[in-house]
Amino acid sequence: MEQVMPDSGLNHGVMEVLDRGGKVVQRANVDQNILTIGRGYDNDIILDDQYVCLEHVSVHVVEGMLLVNDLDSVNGISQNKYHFKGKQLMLSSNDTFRIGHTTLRYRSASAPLQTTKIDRHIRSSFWSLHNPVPVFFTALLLIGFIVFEAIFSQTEETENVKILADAIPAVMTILSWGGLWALFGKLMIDRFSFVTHLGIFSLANVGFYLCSIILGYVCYAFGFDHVFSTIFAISVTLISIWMLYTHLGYSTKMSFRSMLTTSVVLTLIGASFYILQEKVMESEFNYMPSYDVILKSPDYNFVEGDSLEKFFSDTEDLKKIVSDAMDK
Amino acid sequence: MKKTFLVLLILFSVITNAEEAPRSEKAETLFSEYKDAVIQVRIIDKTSQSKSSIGSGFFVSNDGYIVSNFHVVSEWVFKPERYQIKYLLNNKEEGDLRLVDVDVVHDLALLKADLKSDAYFKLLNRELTQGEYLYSFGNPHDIGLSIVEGTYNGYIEKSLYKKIHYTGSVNPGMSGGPVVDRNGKVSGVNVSGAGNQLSFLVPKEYVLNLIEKGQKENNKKISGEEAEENKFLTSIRDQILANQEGYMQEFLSKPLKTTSMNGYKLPGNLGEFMKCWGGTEKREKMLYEQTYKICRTEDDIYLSMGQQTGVIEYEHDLYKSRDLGKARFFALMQENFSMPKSAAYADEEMVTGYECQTGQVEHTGTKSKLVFCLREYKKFEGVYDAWLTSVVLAGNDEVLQTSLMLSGVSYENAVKFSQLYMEKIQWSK
Repeated sequence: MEQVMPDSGLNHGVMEVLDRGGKVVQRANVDQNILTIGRGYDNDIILDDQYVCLEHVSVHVVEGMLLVNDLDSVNGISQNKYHFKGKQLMLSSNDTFRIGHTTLRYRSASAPLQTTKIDRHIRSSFWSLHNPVPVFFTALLLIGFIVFEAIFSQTEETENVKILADAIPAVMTILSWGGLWALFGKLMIDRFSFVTHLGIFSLANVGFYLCSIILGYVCYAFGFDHVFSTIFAISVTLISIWMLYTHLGYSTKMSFRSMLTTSVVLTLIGASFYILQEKVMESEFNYMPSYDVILKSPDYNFVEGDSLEKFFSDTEDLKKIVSDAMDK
Repeated sequence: MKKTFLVLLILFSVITNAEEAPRSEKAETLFSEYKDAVIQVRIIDKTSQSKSSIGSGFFVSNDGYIVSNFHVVSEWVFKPERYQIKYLLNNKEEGDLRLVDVDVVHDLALLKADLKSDAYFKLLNRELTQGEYLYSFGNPHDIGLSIVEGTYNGYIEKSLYKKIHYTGSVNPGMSGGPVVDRNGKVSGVNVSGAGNQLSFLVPKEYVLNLIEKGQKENNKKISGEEAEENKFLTSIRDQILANQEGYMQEFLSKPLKTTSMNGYKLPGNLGEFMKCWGGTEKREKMLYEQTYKICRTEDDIYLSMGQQTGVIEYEHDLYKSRDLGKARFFALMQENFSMPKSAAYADEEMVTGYECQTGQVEHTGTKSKLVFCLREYKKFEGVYDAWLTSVVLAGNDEVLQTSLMLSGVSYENAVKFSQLYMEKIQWSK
C-alpha cells in the first residue's frame, strides 16, 4: 500500500495516550520543549489515573529519539517486562511505555501514515444497494421468483390467494434476514442499514434462482445433466461468499482481507454442514434408485443421442461400479 | 416385540382368516392315521432359546427325511450362527433338524431328523381331477395340529411356475404342511394363500425332484457347519440364475409383443403369467391427465424377510398437459421422472445400493432420456436387480414414460432384455 510522509514542521512527533484496547484517546505534540506528564493539572498531558503521580515523568526529543525522565515517581516506568524507577528511558518511534495503569506511545513526525480509505458507505449511485428504488425492485423480483415457484408446484387449479399465502413465509424470511443484519450493523458501527441488507439478500437470492434456471437449461440443452448439481453448488458457494462479504462490509469496520476470510470461512462452514448432511443421507441405505436427470421442453435440447447399442454397451462400467460396491 | 413381529411375518406369509371347513369322516380317518407324520418346524433363536418363527413339515421316509417350505427355514440359511432348526412331534417330543437341500424357486426344503418314523407320507402318483377333495395338515397359529378339508381347482393359469389352486383354509403356521388326497397320498405342499379359502400349493413333482436330489446330496458328506452354509448359498444362487436363464432365454428368443397406448407402440404382455391392469387419472381440477398400464408377474421368489426376487414389472405412463404450460408441465415431468414409482424391496444386508447410468438415446428418429440402474445381491454374486426408465422428448404437451424392473437376473440378461424392451418402443405415433 502506498505510504504518505507527513510534513513534520517544527513538531518532532506526537505523544499518544492509549486505552486498554490500544486505541488513541489523547494526543499531544512533542516539540523542542520539555513536556511533563502526570495527574496534576499543570502538566502538558494530564492523566486521570490514580497510580500516576502529580508530576510523573517529563519527555523531550534528543537526536530524533524520545527521552523519558522519571521524576522520582512512586510507581516508576514500565516498558515491556522491565520496570524502572528514577531512571531515564530512550524511545524510538512507535515504542510504548507505561506509567501507573496508562500506556503511552511515541510516534515521530516522520512515521508513515496509511492512505485515506475510501468510504464504501458513502459512494452512491442509482444501482447502489442503499438506494431504496433498485432494492425495492430486486426484492420484488425475488418475491416474483418465490411466487412462481409456488405456482410451479401446483398441478391442480388453485386459488391465487392460496399461492400467495404459500409465499408469505419466504417473504418473512427475507425481511427478517435484512432486519437481523441491520441490527448487527447498528451494534457494530452504529448504522442501521435495513434497505442495504435487504438489497444484498434479495440480489443474492435472485442470483440463486437465475443460476438454477440458466444452468438447468444450459445443462439440459447440451447434455450435462450429471454435472448440474456440482456447477450449481459452486455457483451457490460463490454467491454466498459475495453475500456475506457485502453484508460484513455494510455492518462492520473489518478490513477487506478479514471480511473475505470471514465470508469464505462462514460459507465453507455452511457448505460443510450441507455436505455432511448429504453424506449421512447417502450412507443411509435407500432401496430406490436415485439419479440426476434434467427434463425440459424438447425445443431446447440440442444433444445428439447415443444409439441403444452404445448406451447398453457402456453399462459394463456400471457393472464394475456395482462390483466394487460389493467388494466394499 | 421383535420376536412377535418375526413370528407374525412368517405366519402371515402363509395367509389369513377363513372359516374352517367342516370335517368329513374322511378327514377324521386321515388325521388319526397320519397325525404322527406331521411335525412342527421351529426356528429357535440361540441366544434367547425361544421360537423365532414356526411352520409345518412332514416325514417322507421312515429314516427321518422331512419336507417343508424354504421360507420356513430361510432365517437359518442366512444366519446359521444365530438360529437352530428343531422339530416338535405330535407326541411333544423335540429334536434337532438338519437342512439337506432346498428348492428356492418352488419354496421347498428337505430336512433330516436323526430318528426313525413309522408314520410317513407317500407321494401321489396319479393326476388329480378338478373338484376332488384334498386335506391339508398343519399347525395353524401354533395352536396344535389340524386338518382342513378343501378342493383341488387345477393349476394357476397366470404363473411362471406350476402352482395348485386349492380352495381350503390354509392358515398361518401351516406352511410346509402336506396336502393329501382321500388315500393320504401327498399331492402338494401348503405354501401361501390370499384369504377366503383361496390357497396355493407346491405340486408334488417338485417335492419328488427335491427328495431325489437331496437324498443323493446327503450321501456326499460335507463336514462342518460353515461348509453347509456356503453350500446352500451357492445352491440358491445357482437355482436363481438357472431359473432366470430359462424364462429370459424364452423372452429373448421370441419377438416381443407390443401394445398400443393412445397411438404409441409399446412393449406388451410377455405372456399369460403376467397380470396387467391400467387406468386414467383425470379429475376436473387437475391441470394434466395421466393414463397408465402396469404389468407384473406375481411369482415372487421368497429369499428372506428382507428380500423377494424373480419379479418382472413394467409400466407405461402417458401424461397430457391441459393448462399447465410448457415450463410447468416439464417441471412436473422432471419431478415424476426423478422419483421411481416402484423398485423391488430389499434390505441393506441383502443387496448393494442401486448405481445408475443416465444418458440420452436416439431411437427410431426420436430422442429420449434413459436411466439404467443395477444392484447386486450381496449373498449371491452375479445376481442383479435391474431398473430402467425412459421418457420421450417429442412433444410439448404430451410425455410418455416407461419403466421396467427385473429382479434376480444375470447382468447379461438384464442388459439384453432392457435393450430389446427399448427397441420395441415406437415413440412417434
